[in-house]
Amino acid sequence: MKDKFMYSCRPQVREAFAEELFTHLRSLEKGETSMTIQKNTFRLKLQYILIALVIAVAMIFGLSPKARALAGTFFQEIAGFAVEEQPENPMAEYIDANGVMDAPNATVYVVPTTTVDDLLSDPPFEFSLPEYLPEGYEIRSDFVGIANSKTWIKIIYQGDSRDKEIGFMAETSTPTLSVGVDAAEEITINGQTAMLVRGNWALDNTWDYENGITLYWTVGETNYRLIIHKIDPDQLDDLLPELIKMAESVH
Amino acid sequence: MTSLLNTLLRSHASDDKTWRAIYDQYLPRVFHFMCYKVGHVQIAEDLTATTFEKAWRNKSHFKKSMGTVQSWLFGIARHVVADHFRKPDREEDNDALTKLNSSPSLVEDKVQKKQEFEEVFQIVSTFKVEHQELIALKYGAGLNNREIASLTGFSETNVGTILSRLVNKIRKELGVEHER
Repeated sequence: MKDKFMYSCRPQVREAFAEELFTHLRSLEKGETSMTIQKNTFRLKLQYILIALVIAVAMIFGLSPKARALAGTFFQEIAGFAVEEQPENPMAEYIDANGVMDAPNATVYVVPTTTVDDLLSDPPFEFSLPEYLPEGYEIRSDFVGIANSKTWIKIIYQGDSRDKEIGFMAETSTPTLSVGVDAAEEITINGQTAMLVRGNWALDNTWDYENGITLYWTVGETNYRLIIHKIDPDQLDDLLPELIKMAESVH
Repeated sequence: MTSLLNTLLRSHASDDKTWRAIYDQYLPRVFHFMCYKVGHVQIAEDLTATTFEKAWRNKSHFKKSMGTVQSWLFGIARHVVADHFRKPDREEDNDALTKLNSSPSLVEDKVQKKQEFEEVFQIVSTFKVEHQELIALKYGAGLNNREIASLTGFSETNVGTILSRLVNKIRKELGVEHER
């Protein structure tokens, strides 16, 4: 296979980046305790017991995909999207009790915003907007998010009250999604397979199956999402057909 | 080299030199993996930094595991990428790294290489997500077909066949003169 060019075209690691990152990593170690392993007979016996337990559990859970998902991550593909079913939010260790990212030394950047008119006059990639909107919803013309990487855009459709919002996203990359067990299912949009995810991660890092819904589908080379976060769970079933209709109007 | 690192780690010789060796060996591979995943050098640097920071904070967890450095590190890397795509409203970075990105030294050959990679990535980004993953694991992470098969669920034969087909497609779209 003549694939040398796949290696030779890759950008090189910048020396300054490599050195400063390592310096940063070294600084993380300050204050941490030594990781010397204390070897003794008791520890070895404990390790053997744990290994035996792991093998036994693996044999049991290997029989059922759902059991595997409950025990840890279960990978699957739905409508072309890679989905990881997780029993707990994989980012739990970085989120505090208020649902705020709490990674040490991390900076959260606000996504640049623009207007719908500016977005449509200079789109970062090819996409279409839905031609159909549920009754009472209209586009928030003053708020459009565009990723710094220019790989996705986000638009908000506002309902007749402040707590009614539908998020619309178009993106050129295909995300790998972490969701709760059995939260994702395959549906059909315009005769093509699509994915419906019910729920979202809750503040306690468990999956809340009643916390909104998200539709994922693809048109041409562009992936789309419709997202509802804040809505009365009782209204979700009524709104889902409207969301599908909205998705089907994206051409 | 990989087996040597694993031996060192398991024989309790996991001192600074060993981790420095791990860093030197895997930094380019994680960075190239990220490049093939996101197609953007600065974002790839950010995600690489996040990966190593998570790894460094959890070095003791690795010791308790039975896996290799490689599978452990790329397991973290894959989760970092997944999270990057899953949380589009936020873009994380590290304070210490932000300033690195502000002064990239792009000499002529780097510019040319960047353009070449962008051409390749533009084609790769049109592939199905699982095929993009195969490309990133093979040509970014530098894993062999067997290692890729164990991570993705494809058979080893399938990995080879699919990659061959994908590379041929890229070559065709780029033109044979791009082979070097």
